Amino acid sequence: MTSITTISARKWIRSRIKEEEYKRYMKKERDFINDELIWEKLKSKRNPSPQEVRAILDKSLSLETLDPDETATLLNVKDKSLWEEIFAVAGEVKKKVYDNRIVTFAPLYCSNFCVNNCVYCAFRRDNRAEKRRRLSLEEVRREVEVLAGKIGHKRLIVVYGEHPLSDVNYIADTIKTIYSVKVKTKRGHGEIRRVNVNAAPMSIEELKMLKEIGIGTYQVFQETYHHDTYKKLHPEGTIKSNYQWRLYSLHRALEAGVDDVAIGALFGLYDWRFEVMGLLYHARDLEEHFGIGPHTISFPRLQPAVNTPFVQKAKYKVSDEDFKKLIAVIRLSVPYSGMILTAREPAHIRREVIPLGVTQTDASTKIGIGAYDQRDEGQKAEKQQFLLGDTRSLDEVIRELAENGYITSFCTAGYRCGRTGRCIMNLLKQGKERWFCKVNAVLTFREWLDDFASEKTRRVGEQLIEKEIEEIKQQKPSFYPKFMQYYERIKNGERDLYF
Amino acid sequence: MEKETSISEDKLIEKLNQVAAFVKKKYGIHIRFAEILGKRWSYIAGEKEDIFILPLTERIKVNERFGLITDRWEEIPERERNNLFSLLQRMLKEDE
Repeated sequence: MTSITTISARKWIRSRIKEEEYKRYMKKERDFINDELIWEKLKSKRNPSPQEVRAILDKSLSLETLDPDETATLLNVKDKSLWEEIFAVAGEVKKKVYDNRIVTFAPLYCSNFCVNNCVYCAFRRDNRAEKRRRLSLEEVRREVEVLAGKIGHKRLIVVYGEHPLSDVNYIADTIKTIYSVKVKTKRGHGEIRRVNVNAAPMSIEELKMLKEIGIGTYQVFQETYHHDTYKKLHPEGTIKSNYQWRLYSLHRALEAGVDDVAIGALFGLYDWRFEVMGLLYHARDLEEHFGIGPHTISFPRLQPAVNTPFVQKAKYKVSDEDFKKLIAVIRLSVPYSGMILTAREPAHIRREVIPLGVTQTDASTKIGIGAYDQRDEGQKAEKQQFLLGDTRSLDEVIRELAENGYITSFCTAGYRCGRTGRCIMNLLKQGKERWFCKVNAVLTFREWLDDFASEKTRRVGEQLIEKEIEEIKQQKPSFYPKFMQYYERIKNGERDLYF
Repeated sequence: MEKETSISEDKLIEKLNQVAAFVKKKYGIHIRFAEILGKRWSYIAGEKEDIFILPLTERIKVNERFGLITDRWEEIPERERNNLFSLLQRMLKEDE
């Protein structure tokens, strides 16, 4: 039984925040989110002309990051037909940077103990309805055996509450365990090749520990960029109540040498247009300091959670129509970043928004602690942070994506070939990464079809692969011979060949 | 404020960039240097462009901590390749 005394937990909480590690990034004691300025920009760009909007769309198509005035302009569009143009260009930008592939991953929740008390979250300290649990390393291993051996995932995002029981040492141990698991599959073997981390803000010293293990991306969501709202939702005295400690967590990560970082906002806590502006300012500040912007941007919407009445009463819930708009504007504002859509959203919404610029999504998702190994039927609200909107299997989601012309990619090649940090940014901004995306998508999709697909999905998948191979042959003849060698070797049972 | 890098880290990056530029000029071969962190090969210096005739996917460990990623390493004449490799081993050992 894991336990920790209240006194030692308090001591741990007091030791967390290191002011000197974020204050040095602030200018005149202010952080880079200026609430008044954001509102001013949103107000000053009302009623933009179609010409203005189209000029901005052209800039996005040249894969340049927009400036705040330009993003504010897009957020002020009212005309329906202009929005249709925006949606179409968002899809084009995505194709230019990432091709038609959708990377897939699974979340793995390792612990739901938390010292914070965020009013919108089921993991909050005072929520007695939540059953607390932390996975042992053996349990982590069993979860991975299901994820990599039965479902076929290659990429995880590991999630932890903020608590001394899930400190950096525990996080490091769980990641090492995940990387060590290898499971035999129908024609090859399954393993997790990239572990991304969603955890509380850390100190530079702790982030250096994560770097040493070889994590994928380090992700911290600001939740809301609006200072007053942040203050109201994160009670004083908790670690999370410190806005700047959280805001600069990715600056610290980059300083520590973790060169792939990810940002996000929880939509529904404050005005969605303000949050989009916040994400843009965040991306630009990272670029300004490090020459490296966010590897991915997440845009989850608030979802119902056990014993969390705040969600039902939330004033800023985002409608489906506005959700589409915010995704498209993020896509256009930061063209090089990956965009993550999760199974929080129901299937019909996922279908609708994927063409607007989404690059990654999850499936066969379970977010209860230990839920993969226990094969939990349905959702167990008391073990989850929130309720999922889409519980379809990976096989179903992949089939649907393939029917709509999207190839599911299990690629984890970039970060194993030095395409990280400044290097990957450079390739993405020049639209050169898409060819890696394409060839690696085909190779990893072939692996998955042979090892895990149902007959029905395999048939649909193979038709798509044929089309993709033809495209590679026609448009990238220099890649083609080596690509085909790899492809044939994978068909014969070899695994993990990549560009 | 820019990322704080130690002088030795900056010097190492500069030296590695010089090596990459030399190899590119002399042999037409592209090199990227990376720090090896478990499965991760994290970019530190050298070629950022990629996609030439072939992508850079040939991974060669210089030592336990550093590696290089290249396209046609074997095309460098053997003797010169060995010399270059020894130089890199010395450089990267000094800076470990």
